[in-house]
Amino acid sequence: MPQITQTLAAGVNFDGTAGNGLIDFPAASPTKAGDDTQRVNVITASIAIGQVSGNARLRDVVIAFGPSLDAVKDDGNGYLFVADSDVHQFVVPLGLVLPPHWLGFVFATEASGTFIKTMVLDYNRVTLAPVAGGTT
Amino acid sequence: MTLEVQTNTVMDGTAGKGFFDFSTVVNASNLERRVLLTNVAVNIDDGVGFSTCLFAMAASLADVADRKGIALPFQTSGSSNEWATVSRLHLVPTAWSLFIFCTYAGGPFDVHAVVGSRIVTERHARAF
Repeated sequence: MPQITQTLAAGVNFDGTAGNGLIDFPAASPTKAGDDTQRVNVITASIAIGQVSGNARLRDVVIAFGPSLDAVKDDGNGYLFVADSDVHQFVVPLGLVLPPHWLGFVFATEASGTFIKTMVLDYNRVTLAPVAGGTT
Repeated sequence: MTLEVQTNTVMDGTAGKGFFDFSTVVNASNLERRVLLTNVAVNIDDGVGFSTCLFAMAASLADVADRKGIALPFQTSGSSNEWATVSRLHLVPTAWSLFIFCTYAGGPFDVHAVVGSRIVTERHARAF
């Protein structure tokens, strides 16, 4: 199963931007020739967010998915998977099927001191056929 | 907000059969932007369990059919009186709806779907 990993230096928070929590599925796993890109969904399997070592904690850990960073902010039309706050490590099964072209965004803030932190996401890209009776 | 429906037909995400419209709880006096979906539970009683339960959220049923919604973890082959559940917290736009699809072998039987949710601001949500 493909993985997307990011490691952030001490003092740098996950804020959903490139290299700092942006999960770009199309860039990580480009569609194959002949794929109907309108039908390539993403299945997110699990995600782990936390520090590399030590006992420092993260706060305001939020995992969000949407077509853009703006979409997962206030008043946006994206989707947020509520995570946790004040945690040393956050490991959770996601099991979500996401629409084509959506991106992932991780937010997490250092709660105590500065420390190196990582994010690991397991996922798959699949081509889903439309449901009978639905629009295409 | 807790909603409950009973039906003796297969839940197919349509009105009265697995359709939960969050926008009905949004009004001019609340300016919040997300629905906090706290739990979804589906139960089929009277002897025969469900074969598959799928939970999806999107702006419309057509979007679900067209793979533009979000599907939540689904459960298969539940026993009689066993609940298919979603227990994690999810935040969705208030304009979205929840669609439940549930089939069962040997039916039809009564189906109970309970959806727990409330409207929150994202600021509140981040405090969870």
